[in-house]
Amino acid sequence: MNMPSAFLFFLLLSVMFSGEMIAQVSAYDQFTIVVNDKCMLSTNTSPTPVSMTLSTSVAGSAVSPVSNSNMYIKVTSIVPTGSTRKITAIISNGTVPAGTILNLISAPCTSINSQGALGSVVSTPITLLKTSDQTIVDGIGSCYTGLSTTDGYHLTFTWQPDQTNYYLINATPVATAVTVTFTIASNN
Amino acid sequence: MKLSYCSLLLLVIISSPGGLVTAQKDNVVETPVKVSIPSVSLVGFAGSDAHLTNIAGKGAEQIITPSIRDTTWLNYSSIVDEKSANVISVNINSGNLPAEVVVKLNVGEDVGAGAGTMGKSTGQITLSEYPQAIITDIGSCYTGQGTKKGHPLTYSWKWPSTYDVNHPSIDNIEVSVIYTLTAGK
Repeated sequence: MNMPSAFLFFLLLSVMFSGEMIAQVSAYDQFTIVVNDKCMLSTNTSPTPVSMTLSTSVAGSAVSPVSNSNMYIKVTSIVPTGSTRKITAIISNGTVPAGTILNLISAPCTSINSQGALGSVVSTPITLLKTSDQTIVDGIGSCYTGLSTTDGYHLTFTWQPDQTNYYLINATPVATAVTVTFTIASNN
Repeated sequence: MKLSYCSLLLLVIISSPGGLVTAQKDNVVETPVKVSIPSVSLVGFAGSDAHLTNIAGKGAEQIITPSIRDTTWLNYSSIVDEKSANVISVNINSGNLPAEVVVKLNVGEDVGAGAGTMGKSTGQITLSEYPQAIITDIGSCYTGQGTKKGHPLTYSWKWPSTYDVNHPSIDNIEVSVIYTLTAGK
């Protein structure tokens, strides 16, 4: 074995056993335990689209509001002391058809597989906008919601005609695609 | 030897803590939402007269007789695309209307119980077997459902002077009138 190879072999050994070397502490050393700030968000339906159709079958009546409650948001969160987080929603791509409104509300987090400071939901539906993030759940501390399909913050989308702008509604031969982006972010 | 340097370097990168950094944002998730609005063209009646039938997918039929005095209310729901408007037409479908008797139909404007782009009434027409437009330029709208919603319809009968309008046989005259809502342009 020549010199550069021997050096690299030693380097490799030192990397492989680096964990053990750290573990060799003397009686006078100070332990520092670090819990990393953690914040993760997922949904059960992604990438399956939430699909809704506005229509009526009664002459004289307006097209009926339609709701979809297929989606749950799952969260894992570890916050620094005194800090909380919120979940916000925004239309990040596409446009809600003219003459209609897309609302969103979250139910409180399901209880079966969750634990911790799960925060509180905004109790009135928000009208989703392209221009600004709006809070749907606030005051989230260190918590987890659970992983199963029906764990988490249960979302309900409601799509409805806007009465004052009803004349702007257009029949669409193909479905309009709108992307809603959810973000969990610190309040501080 | 060059190859072993490279593989060793790769091993060092993989072994070192934090050597692999993913760019994925864990705190953001996107959801596609798909929304559809099919065309709607529905027309129906409301009123105290019993001889009203809504024909699914086509329009509405009213059996009229000389004794009808009450106003019938024409209700409709319409969703059009941006290049279209709907039209409501009327024609006599069947019946035993004597050739010398004329039935006029007066179509009022929408009374404003609904919302959207309501149609415009063409006023009074004389009923015939040929469809005639009575409400035009209907956009996306609804009239509301029931009496005193939508457009009021009133019939007036014009009898030749030789007719005895008080004779009971007059009430044997029955005419089927069909209203249809169709794409106008």
